[in-house]
Amino acid sequence: MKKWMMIVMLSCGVLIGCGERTYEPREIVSETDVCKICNMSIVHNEYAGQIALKNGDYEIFDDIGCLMEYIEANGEDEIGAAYIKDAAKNEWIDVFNASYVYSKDYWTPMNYGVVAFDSKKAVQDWMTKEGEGQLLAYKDLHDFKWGIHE
Amino acid sequence: MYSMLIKLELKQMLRSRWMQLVGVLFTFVFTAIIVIQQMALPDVEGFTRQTASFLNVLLFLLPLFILTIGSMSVAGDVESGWFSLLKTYPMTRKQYIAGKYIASVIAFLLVVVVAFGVILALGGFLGGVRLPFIFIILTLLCILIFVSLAIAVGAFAKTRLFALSLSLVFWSIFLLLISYALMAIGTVVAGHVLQKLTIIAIHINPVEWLRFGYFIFTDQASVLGPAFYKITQFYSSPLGYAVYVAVTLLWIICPLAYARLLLTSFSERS
Amino acid sequence: MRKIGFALLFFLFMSQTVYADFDVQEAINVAKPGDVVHIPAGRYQGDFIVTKPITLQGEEGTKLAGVKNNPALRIENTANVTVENITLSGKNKAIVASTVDGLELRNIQIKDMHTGVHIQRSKNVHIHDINVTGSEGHYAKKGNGVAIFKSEDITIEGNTIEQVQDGIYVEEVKHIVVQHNKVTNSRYGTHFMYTSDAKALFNTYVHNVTGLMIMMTTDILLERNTIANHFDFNGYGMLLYDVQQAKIKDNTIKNNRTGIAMQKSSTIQIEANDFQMNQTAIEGSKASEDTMASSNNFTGNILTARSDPQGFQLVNNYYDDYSGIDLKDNGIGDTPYVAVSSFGQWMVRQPVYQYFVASPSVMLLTSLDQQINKTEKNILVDKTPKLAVKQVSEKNKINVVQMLVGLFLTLSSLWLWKRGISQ
Repeated sequence: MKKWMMIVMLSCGVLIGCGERTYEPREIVSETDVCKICNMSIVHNEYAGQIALKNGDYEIFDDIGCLMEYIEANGEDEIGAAYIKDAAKNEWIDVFNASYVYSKDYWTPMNYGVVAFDSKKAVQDWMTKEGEGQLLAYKDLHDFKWGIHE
Repeated sequence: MYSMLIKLELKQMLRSRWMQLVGVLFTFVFTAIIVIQQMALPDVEGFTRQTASFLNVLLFLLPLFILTIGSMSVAGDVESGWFSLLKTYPMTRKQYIAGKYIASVIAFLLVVVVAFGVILALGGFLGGVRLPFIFIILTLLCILIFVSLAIAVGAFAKTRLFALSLSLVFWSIFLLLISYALMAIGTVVAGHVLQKLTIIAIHINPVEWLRFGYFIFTDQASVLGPAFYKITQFYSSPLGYAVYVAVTLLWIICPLAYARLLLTSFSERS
Repeated sequence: MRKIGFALLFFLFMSQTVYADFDVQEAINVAKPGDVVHIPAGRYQGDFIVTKPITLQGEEGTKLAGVKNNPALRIENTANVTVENITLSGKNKAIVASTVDGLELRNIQIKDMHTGVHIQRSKNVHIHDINVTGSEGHYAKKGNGVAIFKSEDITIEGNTIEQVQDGIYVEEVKHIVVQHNKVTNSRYGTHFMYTSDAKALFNTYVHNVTGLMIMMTTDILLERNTIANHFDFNGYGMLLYDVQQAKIKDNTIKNNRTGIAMQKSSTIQIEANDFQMNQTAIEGSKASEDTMASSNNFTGNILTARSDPQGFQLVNNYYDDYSGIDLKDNGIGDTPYVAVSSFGQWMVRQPVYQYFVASPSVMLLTSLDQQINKTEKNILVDKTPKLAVKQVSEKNKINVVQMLVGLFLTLSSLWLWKRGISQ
């Protein structure tokens, strides 16, 4: 019986151990992934976000606004890494170091109008194409008023 | 000689009061639940309370009856000395086990056919009942797997009383305890850990294996939730079907092989 | 130049279609406001644009085809436009209307396009009897059937939409009525976002991911819709997220994974609906205190209700799995109905638990729960459960074949049994 317990404990340990330390972003599975906050399925991949929790679970979001709502509700302690898609390149970038730009005329899945990029330069390129917006950094997102703005 | 043994075993099996009682009980409970559900609820495709209760009655009752009766029949042979007597005939352990297995499978098939027959007859009288093909297959698999397990339990126990209690232990572990343990673990570990443990449980628990098979083969894997998307995708592919068959065969062969091992060492000792 | 182009196209498509020599854009250009431009049968390719109040009227066999990724028909900066009896085809969007006051679209067929109708910044729009069929494939790669953005006073009725992303997508719209539509095999049947004063009536939603998806919306009435077979991954009959003041009445909600889910919503009334054979009938998380499900019929659902610890109210519903009795004979059960179950509550917190839905162990646990939780009476408890009022009385014809097969099986196996013994 003790041997059994050992095996169970060990395998639990191994399972928990997997995926620890490095928090790689995972691929979106469009058949099953829905936003943790608003439950919308992820169809606009270029705006999607995800959080790799320290326990190895992933939470997927359809919009940076939903991701921020999750962080506001649950704090940053359990977060191993957080990623958001660079809207121009459609690649995962770090939420905490990304450059953001907001305009009420940008469309996003939740229509919050905040788009993420890997550099200020990419933001400039976006603005020349899609119209002027207001530059934001990650810390500005905390007290950003999510919702549509008249 | 060999067919004689099967006939003899079958005759003993069918004669047993216990078996006849089980036949009546199984038929009664099964029919009552299915026919009542069928009458009360609208006809809908997919996974509903009706199909859920169908599946649950099957998974609750059939393993219980098979495990107790099957194991007690083998243990009884050892206990009463019948097995030692058989050894004096020109017959191998393998033949004894195979004969026992075939006789028990036939006996339980008869019970199930009676039950299904009554359901169809009564259901037909009341306007038609649906008995999906997959349920028949699943019932068959259930009998094949659990008779094998029962023989192993009986060979291990060697006395009827021990066989009975051991069967009950196994039954409650398969049906309830593993699930409850998983659910309890799930409250403390991360979702992906619970998901992996559940996948392991599916493979090491024949009851879960049959239940999982039901969802795979009825194309209702989405009932199990998005966390199991990948594994259900795999088992819905041709390769997955092959693996399913292979694992099912393992569940039948391994206990029988183990039973043979036990009986061999027993007869060498005695 | 155009003539040569037409001639080339003519040869290119001669095998399947014949191009009429009527010039649609020219006819639109010369028409005066209020005119009816009649387009004879035939296939016309181009990106047509309407900027004045006219009626475009096709006939049987009038087809407009878009060029490249351009919309087949654009209607811009104008008022009182009507488009009728036309079939549209192309790659991207069929009809795009921007800043139009007064638009009527009727009897329009749209097939295999990315998006059917796209309307923005418009007023007084009436879309009826149009038919949108999207292409095969995953919904993530498709557009919406009818999409309305930033508009007011919209009526969408009697349309049939299938195989698109969202059948009817409504964003930032004030005052909209969606009725008598049928949406099947799409992502969301109707998707409201940031909308106020909306009504969805008499619609049929079958086998989408989710029937009605309502998000960040205020003041909505959902009445007499039929919502069935949303049982795939993450499927819901209706999902309300951040919704204020919703009334959900007299709907039939059948065979969904979850019938109605409410999240972060307030003042939701769920009244007199029929919940049949859903895996979970109602789910609530962060629902406000005044959220209430009353006078509904729950039949054949695996789980009647589940919620976070906040719960929601259940009042005077009929539950087919209620086991109490009515000694007072007032039509109301004497003991409360307990919908709360440990398993249901776990499932709200950790989705992986869904694996165990209706498994033998959970069934046992749930029936124990109902005995134990009766004394607690905190959430998801109906103190006034209604007793059986109506009963489905159908299918009473004898199925002779089945009965005979059953009898034969029973008798023959019993005979075999007997033979096995006596031999």
